[in-house]
Amino acid sequence: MDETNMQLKEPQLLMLTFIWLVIFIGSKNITAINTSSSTATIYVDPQESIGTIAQNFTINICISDVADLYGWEFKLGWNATILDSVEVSEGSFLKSGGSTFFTYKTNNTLGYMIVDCTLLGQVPGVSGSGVLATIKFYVENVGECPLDLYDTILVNSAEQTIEHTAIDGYYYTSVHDVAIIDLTASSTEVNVTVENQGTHTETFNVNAYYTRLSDPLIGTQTVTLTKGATTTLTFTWNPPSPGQYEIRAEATTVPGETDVADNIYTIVIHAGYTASNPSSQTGNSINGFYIAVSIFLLISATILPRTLHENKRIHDYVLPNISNSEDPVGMNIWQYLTIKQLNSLR
Amino acid sequence: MQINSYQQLFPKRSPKRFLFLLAPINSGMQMEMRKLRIAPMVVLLPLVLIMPTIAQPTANPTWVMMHGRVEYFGLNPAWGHCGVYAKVGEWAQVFVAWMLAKPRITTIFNFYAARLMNTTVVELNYSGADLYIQGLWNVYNVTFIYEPGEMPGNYTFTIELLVDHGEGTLTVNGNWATFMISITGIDEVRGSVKRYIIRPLEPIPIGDICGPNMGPPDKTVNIFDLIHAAKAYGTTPGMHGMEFDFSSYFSMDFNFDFKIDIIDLTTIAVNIGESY
Repeated sequence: MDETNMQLKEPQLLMLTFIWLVIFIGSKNITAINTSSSTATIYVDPQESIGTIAQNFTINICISDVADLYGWEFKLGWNATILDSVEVSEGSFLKSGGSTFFTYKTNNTLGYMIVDCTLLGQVPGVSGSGVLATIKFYVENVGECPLDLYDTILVNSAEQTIEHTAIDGYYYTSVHDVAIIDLTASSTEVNVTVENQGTHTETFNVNAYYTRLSDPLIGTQTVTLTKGATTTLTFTWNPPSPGQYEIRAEATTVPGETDVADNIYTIVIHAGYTASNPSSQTGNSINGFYIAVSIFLLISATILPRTLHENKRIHDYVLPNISNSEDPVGMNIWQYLTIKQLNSLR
Repeated sequence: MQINSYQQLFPKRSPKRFLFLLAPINSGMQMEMRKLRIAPMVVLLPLVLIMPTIAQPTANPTWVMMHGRVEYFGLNPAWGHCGVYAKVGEWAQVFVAWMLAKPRITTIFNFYAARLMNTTVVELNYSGADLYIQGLWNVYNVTFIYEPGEMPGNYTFTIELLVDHGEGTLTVNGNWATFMISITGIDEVRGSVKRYIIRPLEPIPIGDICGPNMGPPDKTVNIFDLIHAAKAYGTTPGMHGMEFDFSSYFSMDFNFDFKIDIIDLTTIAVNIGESY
């Protein structure tokens, strides 16, 4: 009986041994697969690139945690209206394994390139991390776009593909641009609205002036704005005398700013009147008018002093309330001239 | 005067500038050639490929590429490679290399080679053949003698011209199954077609020698092709350590100078990204 059992057990034992062997080998294989499964990553470095218009910037295409890399290929796409590729050069990583052959094709019309590199001869591949290629771009226009790394191929020394992941980069144009987008003023206050139209947080000064005989500074305030933010600053002022004033607000130019035309904003107001509607104002569009008025003023000053001198009562003239639409241009000028000329004549 | 540079030999604007292709291998000029950029190659390689021409351009051009394996030389078994690249009705490039013993690594490696020098006819479905190429051929007996010791090492090679511009034809028959080369003065070379492509209107990009993971050609010239040739970089037929068989070796030697060099890599490089 025992012998029969033994006879039965023997094949069972063999079977069991075989199963264990299969499991063992299988587990070894699974382990081997797991250990050989690559964690290689090909990526754009830096992940986010900032460029300035009409200038170059550089990115690297890097590899990390690769084993036995013999050759590689990648395609890189970008927005051709924003960027132009100007230079492609081989990185140091594959070269560390011996002589290499490096080649690339660039299409700046469609915005892509294909870059290839391989070791030469019967040499082992390179392991580790490093730079595969360096690419220099020229910024043609303001904008942003992905730096799309696609169709990437890594090949080992046995001419087998290496599993990996690819990570794109992103580009945007750096713009420093602040602007005064609105300016209002009364006899007591000047309100300046400034906007950060660039891509960086900016700190800058905003000055407010009035113009009559000279450019007295109403005040200076420092403002810090994040990208796209706006704020309105209030300057308190006291016009020295009733009359027409040019109010000018200036935002100082921030480093790297090219669009400075909108850093100055000018309006013309009537201030200092003892009226319920103490001021009227016009924006930039009235500058021409103001210049015309000024010219008229100078002409008047040379031609009419005698008349003015004789008309002394003007000195005591109380100006009516005037709005912009009702403004008798001559009246304001006469008021201005009267005071000025009388003062000079006295 | 010692000539140290390719630029020195052929000034920039000289039409002879492209003659370096005919330079003997292992010359100092080859080192200089490595410094050349790819751009001139783009112009150069098509020129080289269309050297044997006949002037009858067709309205609807068709390109043909074929790779075959040599199996017989006369009645004797033979091992070798036959490569054809042609523009129907205009020009053809044919190169055949074969040997009578199964290729193996020896210090003396001897084989035959034939090259179409001048094309008179290149037609599809002509004279009962799927492909018919007629012209003048050169036939060579090539011998590489490797120095003993660690390989790859130094070697010498000799080329003996057996047939100089002999008349001959290449025919492909049996619905692109077999090919036969008949050249006056030597036995027929026969074999089987391994791969062929007929492409109307657009040229077939050169350089698709394999696919991913050393698989068959994948109809795109890419890094797999470049790496396959790069692995053979610097090798010559029969060289010790050369892992490529005699046939696949010549599928990478695009300019048939018996060496896988920078020109062959450049041929692939200029076509990278091209599909057919």
